[in-house]
Amino acid sequence: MATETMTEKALEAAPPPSRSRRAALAWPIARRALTGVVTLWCISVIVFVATQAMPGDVAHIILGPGASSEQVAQLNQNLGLDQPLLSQYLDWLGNVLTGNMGDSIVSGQPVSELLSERIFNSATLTVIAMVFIIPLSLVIGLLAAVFRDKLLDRAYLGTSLIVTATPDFVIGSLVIALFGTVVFKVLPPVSLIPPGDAPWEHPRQLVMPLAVMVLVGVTYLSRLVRVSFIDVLESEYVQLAIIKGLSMRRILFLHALPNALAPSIPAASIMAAYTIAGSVVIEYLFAYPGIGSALVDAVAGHDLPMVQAIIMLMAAAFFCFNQLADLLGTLNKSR
Amino acid sequence: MLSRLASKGNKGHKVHKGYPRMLVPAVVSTMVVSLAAGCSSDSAEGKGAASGGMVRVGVVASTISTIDPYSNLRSQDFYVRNASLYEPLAHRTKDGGFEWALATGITHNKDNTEWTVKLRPNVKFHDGSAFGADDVIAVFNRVLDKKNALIERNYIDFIDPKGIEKVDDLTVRFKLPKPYGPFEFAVSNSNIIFYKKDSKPEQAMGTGPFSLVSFTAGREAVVKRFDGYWGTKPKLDKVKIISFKTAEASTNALIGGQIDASSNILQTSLPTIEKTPGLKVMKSDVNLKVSIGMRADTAPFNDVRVRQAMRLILNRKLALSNAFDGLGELANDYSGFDRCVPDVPQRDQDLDQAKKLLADAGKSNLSIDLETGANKPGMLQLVQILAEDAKKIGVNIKVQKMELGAYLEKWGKRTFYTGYDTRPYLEGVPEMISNDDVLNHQHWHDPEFEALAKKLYATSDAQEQCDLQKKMKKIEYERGATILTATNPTVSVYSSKVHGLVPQFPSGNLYDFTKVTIDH
Repeated sequence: MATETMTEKALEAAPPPSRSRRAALAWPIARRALTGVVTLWCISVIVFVATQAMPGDVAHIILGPGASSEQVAQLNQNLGLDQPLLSQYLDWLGNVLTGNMGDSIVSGQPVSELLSERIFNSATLTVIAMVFIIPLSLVIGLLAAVFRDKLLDRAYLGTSLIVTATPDFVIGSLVIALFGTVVFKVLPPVSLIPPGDAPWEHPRQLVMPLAVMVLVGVTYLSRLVRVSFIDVLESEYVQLAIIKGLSMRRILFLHALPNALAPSIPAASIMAAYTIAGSVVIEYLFAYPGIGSALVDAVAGHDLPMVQAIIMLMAAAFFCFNQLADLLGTLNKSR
Repeated sequence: MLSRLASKGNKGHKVHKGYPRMLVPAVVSTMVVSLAAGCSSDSAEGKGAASGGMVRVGVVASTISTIDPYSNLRSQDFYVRNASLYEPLAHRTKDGGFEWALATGITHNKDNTEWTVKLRPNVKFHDGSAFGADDVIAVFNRVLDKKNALIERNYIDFIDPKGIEKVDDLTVRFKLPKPYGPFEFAVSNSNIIFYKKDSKPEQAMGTGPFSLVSFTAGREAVVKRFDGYWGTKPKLDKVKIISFKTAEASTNALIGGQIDASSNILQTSLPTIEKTPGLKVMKSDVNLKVSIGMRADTAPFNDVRVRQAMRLILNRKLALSNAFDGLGELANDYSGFDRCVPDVPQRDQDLDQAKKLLADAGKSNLSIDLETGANKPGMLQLVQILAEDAKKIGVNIKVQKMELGAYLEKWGKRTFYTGYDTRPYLEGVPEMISNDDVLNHQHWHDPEFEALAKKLYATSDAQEQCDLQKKMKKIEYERGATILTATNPTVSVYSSKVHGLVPQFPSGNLYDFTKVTIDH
């Protein structure tokens, strides 16, 4: 009786199970969010310092060598660049904390206005690329694993090695020459998306940049999938399934696939992050109106608010995908 | 030499952008440079084509641009757009004269201190309101206000804003603090264009042959025919000005049929373009001199013999063919273009004489850095050719290629460096005699040259101006501080469906679409 009473009291004192689970989940999430904020702040400082360390000043770059010293000084004053560095940074940080990414130093227009459509365009390109990259990588990785060391596998490995070793802009240049300007001329060599239109309204303009992104992404990710599949196919339980006479289709899709996918999914998240960063080169090459091409201009013009905004966006996306990869990796381990 | 980085254009200036050569997308198969000589030009006015339609023009432009006609951000889109939307007082012509635009005449008093500009009557802005003296005065006041830091001020800084007065709605008088002869030349600068007083930049309220339909920074601008235009009305319905980040992208779009015309094409792609059916190549008059500057107040170039030696080392013919793809003509170490040419022989390579001059100056084994931003086609190749030629007489020139921002940071402080010159002589001389290190970056002060310059700007007599220019150019040739190797044209490419395009004087770019038609 006494024992019963004590147990009841203990149960009453303990928090409800769902609440404790929530609390247990809340801390890691809060910790990750905090890490994200600190990471982004560090990046903002690094970008600021790096931009300041770049030789040349904005007024000189804007006005060119035809401007007098007086005009250069006046423009620096007009742009607020004669203020102390710390004050410039704090102004920018203050704006960001109130949800304002500031104005472009060079044009004076709000950064959000200059970038909003470009962010949408870049996100569209990345998402569509990933929609192709993931299933294609799975299929190709699986086939390569099944036909391991056969001609198909060897050809695939050789090709993927060449593609991985070749810089994106070289592959892009070759694709443009082959399909856009020199050999076949069947696709538009430049991705001219009219302002105000969604990229998918002009599918022909997307073919070449997507082709390059998918080619680069698939050759990387499918090799990881291939290795995962090979590991799984060599495991004891798959060997047992083969001995038991299960069909190959059943072994592959029912037993091997779920286990092979597990390590590949975090890799796919990281692949998505790399695709965002890699889009800078692709956008520049195909003149695609995204944030990548805007970043190239902003860096060349030392336009700090533009550079900060674009890098922060990319870093935030990169961070989120990395966290997703971590999370999926953790889930995989517990599984 | 007045080397300029900011691309200048708009009916009066050259537009050229630095072409990053690392990305050569369309030209994997176009690395062989062999421009055929016969560059064709269909200059027939609207030949065989009906009115209407839209021409798509490709320009190389920054992502960050604004619609303000006096923005300090100047990519080529700025100049093409402005030339369609706005007008200057007059357009300069090849023979040194003027074709009146918003002005109908300019008169002056005897001592060139008072100039009166008569404005064209019945000129309308795009909203239908009348253009007049108040608009002209507002623009001059803006340009002359030091706080705005506008480059145009350099061309008209002889004007005192307090001396500008409205005589009547169509007459403006300029009372100058001191005599100024080439007033008409200065105020007809094609970048001094007029908008409606108190209008907002985004309204783009000009008087030009086209009015604004839409503008997206760094992407495109669309302009449509302005039916209330005072002059010859355009035949096209619209012009779409599409911005590209690089000449490579613009070239690819042209070959791929995504645009109809462009002056920003990759020169190494010309062989491919010439083989492409449906594309035509058009070469303008020469209008660009890539220069090598020598700082004249610093050793070793404070000795005129060293400067002369450097000029004799360079094989100009080789530079013209190899660095500039054989597109232009030889230059002769004086600035300006084809008018008022001095009677001096074409300078050629003379290594023996160069060696002797260096020995006389005690600089036989000279070793020096030559810095370049490589921001013009052929610039890097030019300095490499000079360095190779110099080796033959024991001179060691170390070529330093720099990032453009870093290069400009010390502009005016460099000893041996590259630049370029696109301006008419009268616009260039004030900087050559300036005491500002940034403008007179060679730090070259020649008393005789400067005395002649004073006379040049005091007279309004065209013949006298020309004679003075010849004398000044001869001094530049003899003891100046710049190596000018070749003068290059602007090469434009356009679709054979387009008719009536002509290279604009003097920039050579495609700015004037009033006589253009396109096959539907």
